[in-house]
Parts: sequence; C-alpha cells; structure tokens
Amino acid sequence: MSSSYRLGDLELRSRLIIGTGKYKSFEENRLALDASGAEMITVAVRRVDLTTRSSGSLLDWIPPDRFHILPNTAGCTTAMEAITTAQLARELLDTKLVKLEVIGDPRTLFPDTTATLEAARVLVADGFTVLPYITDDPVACMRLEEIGCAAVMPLGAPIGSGLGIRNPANIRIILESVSCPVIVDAGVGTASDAAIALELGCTAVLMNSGIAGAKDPIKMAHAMKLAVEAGRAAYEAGRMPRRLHAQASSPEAGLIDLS
Amino acid sequence: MKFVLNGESQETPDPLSVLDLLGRFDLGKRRVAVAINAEVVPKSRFAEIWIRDGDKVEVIHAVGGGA
Repeated sequence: MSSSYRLGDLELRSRLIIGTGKYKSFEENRLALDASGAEMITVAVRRVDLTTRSSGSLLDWIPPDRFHILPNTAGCTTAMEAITTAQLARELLDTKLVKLEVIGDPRTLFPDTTATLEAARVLVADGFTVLPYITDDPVACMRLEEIGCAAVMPLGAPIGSGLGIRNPANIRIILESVSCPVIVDAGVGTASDAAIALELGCTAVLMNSGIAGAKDPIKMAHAMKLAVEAGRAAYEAGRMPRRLHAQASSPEAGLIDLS
Repeated sequence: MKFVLNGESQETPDPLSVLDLLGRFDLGKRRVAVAINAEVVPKSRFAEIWIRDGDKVEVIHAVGGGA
C-alpha cells in the first residue's frame, strides 16, 4: 500500500483524480469512478439550462459527501472569469478547492500563464486551495508555488490529446524545482502514461479523456487505478540503474562444462 | 423591470428576489449558485437580495467536465 499525501487540508490515498466529462451517462461515470478508486473528482460549472428543468444532476449520481469535489474553471479565458467561476463554485459546493484553468488559446487549450498567475494570486489570498493547470514550464511552476498554490499541475500533453508525457525531462526538472505536490494534468492516453508520471515522482495524475474516451471506460478506469499504484510503488522502490550492456543475473561461477 | 438571466432577456412587472426567481424557474430545490453582475450572491441571502432593472443574473450548477 502506498503512502498518503496532502492537498491543502485534505489527506488522500488514491493518486488518481478523474474528470466527469464525456461519459455516455451519469451511470457510466459513476461506475468508472468506482472502478478507478479515485477519492477526488473534478467537475465544471455551467449555466443551468432554463428550458430542460427535469434533467438529472451530476451530483445526484456523485454525492459530494462520498467524494472530494474539485470544481474547475475550465473554459475561462481571463483571470477575472476564472476568479468569479471559482467563487461561484465555492458557494455551490461548499469547498475551498479549485482546479484553476485559464485557457490562452482555443485550438491548443494551452494555459495563459500570466493570467493563471494573476488569478492564482487573488484566489490564494481569498482562502482557496488552488491547484493550477499550467504548461510543463519549471519557472511558471516555481512562481505558482511561491504564490501559495497547494500543488502545481503541469500538462503532460494537450488536453484530450492522449499523447502521453511528451517531455518527461521537464516534469523531472519541475519535480526538482518545487516542493509542493506535482500532479500531471492532461495528456494521459493509456495506463503506461499514468505509470510513467508516478514513476517520475509525481504525486498524482488527473485525467478525463484517457478514461472516458476508451472503448470500455470502466475497464480503463480500473487499468488506471492499477497503473498509478504500480507507478508509485516503483517510484518508492527505486528503479535499478540503466546500463548500456548486458549483465547476467545468473552466477557465472559453476557453469557446467559440456564441451 | 427588465433583466438578463443566463444570457436571455427577461421581463417582469413584479419585484423579484433571487429566491422568487429560482422558484419561478423551478430551481428552488436544485443545487445552484447565483451571481448578479459578476458578484456571487451567498445562498443565505437569496431571500433578501432583489433583482434590479438591468441586472445580469447567472444561475449555475455542476456539470461533468475535466478540463
């Protein structure tokens, strides 16, 4: 069993944080959540549709008393939008947590670093536990930690791309540069991607499309659970050194002479 | 009185509190949060905050989403 970790006031064991978008139904979402073992899920906040009043609510399926709900500011493109969205989410969900996202470009969904720093500063001062989505830029991560963010969440690859961790060297530099938890947010496409994030020493991974976009999301949720557990255990175990040449693992002494 | 609710123009002859507004749209029992002119209205004040002419009202809820 791997160790627990802290995000703000929370102590968590599962190193998988999952999104709630793109599922076929609330039921599928709930089953995937159960299979993943995640203790924290992220949700978006949007306008209530005033014309379809009877549609069920996500929170009927995913009760906030059983999971830590991490509202996100997905879709916000300015610091002010993200700040107001976080404040609305706090009122809605009675939580200090926020996954801060300020999108700088609609095509790549890369974050606007300047606006993210600006919003993080305001939200930390307002008492939020801020978990910012950011590029895999070590300096941006250092600045976010200085501001008082509870973690930094560099992307592994663009949101929804499933390309895996494109720059593991930068993730390693980030891990050396900050002392707060590092959570890979975005880019995980399959189980090995999640395992790599944990093997590098990341505290956790956050994913949505990697599970919801699989042919069988519930089975993939289970695969991701195993992957983060395996990756973390391998990190804690400490991998063997890499060698260019072979080194036999059977003794060289006592070989049988059959000549 | 005219105001904008989630981007749509609304008109009402009567004064309207936030609580009245939510009731009118059958949202009284739903878990929602409200902002008026980009200022969050605390739940505890829904009955005492009144919509004013020209207000921009946002009523939001939690939906599925990751990033």
